[in-house]
Amino acid sequence: MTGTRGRPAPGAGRYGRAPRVLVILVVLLLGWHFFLTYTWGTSSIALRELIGTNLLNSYMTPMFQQGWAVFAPNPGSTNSSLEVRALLPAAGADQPVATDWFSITGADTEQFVRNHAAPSRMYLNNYILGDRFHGAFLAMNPNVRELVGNDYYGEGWLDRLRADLTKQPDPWAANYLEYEGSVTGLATAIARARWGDDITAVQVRTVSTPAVPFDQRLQSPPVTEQPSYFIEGWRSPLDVPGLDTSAIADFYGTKK
Amino acid sequence: MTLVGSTVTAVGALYRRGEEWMLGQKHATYGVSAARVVYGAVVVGFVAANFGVRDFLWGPGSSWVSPIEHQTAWPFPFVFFSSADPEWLFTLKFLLLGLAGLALMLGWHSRISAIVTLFLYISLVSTNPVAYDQTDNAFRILLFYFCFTDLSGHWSLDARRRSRAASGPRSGSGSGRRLSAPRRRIPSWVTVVLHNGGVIAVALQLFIIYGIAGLAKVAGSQWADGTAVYYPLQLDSLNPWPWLAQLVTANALAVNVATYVSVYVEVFFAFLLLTRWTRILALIGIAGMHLGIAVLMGLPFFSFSMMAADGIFIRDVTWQRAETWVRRKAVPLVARLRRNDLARHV
Repeated sequence: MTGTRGRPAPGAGRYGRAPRVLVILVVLLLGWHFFLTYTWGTSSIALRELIGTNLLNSYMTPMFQQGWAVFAPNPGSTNSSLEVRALLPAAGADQPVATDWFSITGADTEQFVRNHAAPSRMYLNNYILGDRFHGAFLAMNPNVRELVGNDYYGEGWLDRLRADLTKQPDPWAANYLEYEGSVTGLATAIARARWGDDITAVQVRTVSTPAVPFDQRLQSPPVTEQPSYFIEGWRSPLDVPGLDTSAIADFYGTKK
Repeated sequence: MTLVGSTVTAVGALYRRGEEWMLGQKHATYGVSAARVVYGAVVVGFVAANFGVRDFLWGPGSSWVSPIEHQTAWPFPFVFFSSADPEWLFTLKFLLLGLAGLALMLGWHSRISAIVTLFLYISLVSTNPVAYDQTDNAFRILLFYFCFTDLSGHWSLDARRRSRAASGPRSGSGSGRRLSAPRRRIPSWVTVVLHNGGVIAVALQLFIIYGIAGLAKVAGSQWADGTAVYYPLQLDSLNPWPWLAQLVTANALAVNVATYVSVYVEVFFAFLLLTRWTRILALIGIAGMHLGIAVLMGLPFFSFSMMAADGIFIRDVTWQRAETWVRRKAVPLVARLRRNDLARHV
């Protein structure tokens, strides 16, 4: 950080009172601000207690909210995908039949990531949605988690699921229900785009596949890691009010 | 002289030096101007890259986000974008962000353009918490600090207008005089102190980013065994060129070197800036890391935002030499292109 005019002439350091006061104020402000920023970034409990958690949160959010432990302590090494399937009425059968699983993130990878020097935020959206949906599920108590695997049909199924999940106190149930609403709303729109308006239910799963370990990356035939699944139960379609589905039809519909 | 006396003298000298640094002149004027150009270009690139998916991510096709939108939603006045907007209105607003970025890149009313760009960018990205990444944090915070600096010093329409206004009434334009008027109303020392304060803020923010990112990696086993950079390149979402990722990661030594250099350059970044040659090493190392992220992981907007801010650590004289070199190369090229163009029309 150097200037254009080189070193100042000797004795040029004499300024009036107002400029000098301003310098002191700016330096104090910078010191205070970056002390709080550093404390926020390091998550030091001692420093947080010294400053006060409420003061720190109210000062840092939302403008200076940040987190820089990127790819740390280790980078993510699991490929996760978000997938949907639907139930369709079958001609001459009493029971509807399930479609094949459709990978939403797989479609994103092919359309928006591969061979794109500057990918859109589609590189992120559905991957993060799936990860957080899975994370919200894992955050709940095991006995509450079991309920998520049940099927919920008919009008107001989300309210019934909410009632069931909150029968036992679990601070993370509300968070899960928010993701359930988002994911099922999106999955419904994608299912309608792929399989039409006759769908009677949708089901969502996330698939986690570990990356091939570094020391096995050159093996022939290539190593295939076993995926693990998180599957919620069947849900009646959840149509999101006011959702413009034209983009969803373009990206995930069968006309692609 | 006693120890106390020597200490007081040293502290006094340091204080005067600091005061002189803050008041004497604006620092890193070229680096700040380069950052303005890059930040504007990043916004234009962001709008172009996301234009085809804007409705699904933030516009009328994004209502499915509603249950989780509150996680990143900002309070008033950052509510300019809404999924309830009709498609045409949302598109107009989205293009307005691109225009603000273009104005920032060109240096047209630079500070206002920077503030408008910042406002629009925050308003947009905060509406979808799952399409939000560290690019947004870096861009928002660094551009906020840059708003206090003199963004228009070089390579800007503002600078050209000021230059024309200063060169005489015939060549000066009315808008140039209007633009320079506030400079007369606000004492120059105020703008100098705010500019230098903004430059310090950018520098300290970068130290925090690199320092925390580097130290957080030190605890990781994959960073310790030199294999960490291999793993993100195996993720579908961060792998735009699988053949290139495969080529790069096939060589264990290259993966080891890239992994260790990434950690060392981040942890020691601030300290390496203290002397000229280590500063050059630090800037080359960090630029190499960001270029790798930009190309191999498809994250150019993040990388260029960071590299642009790092530009404040390049001396003004180096920027001037680069500018002279480019002009020397560009002027004959432009003249030749014009001659060819004329020849075609004759």
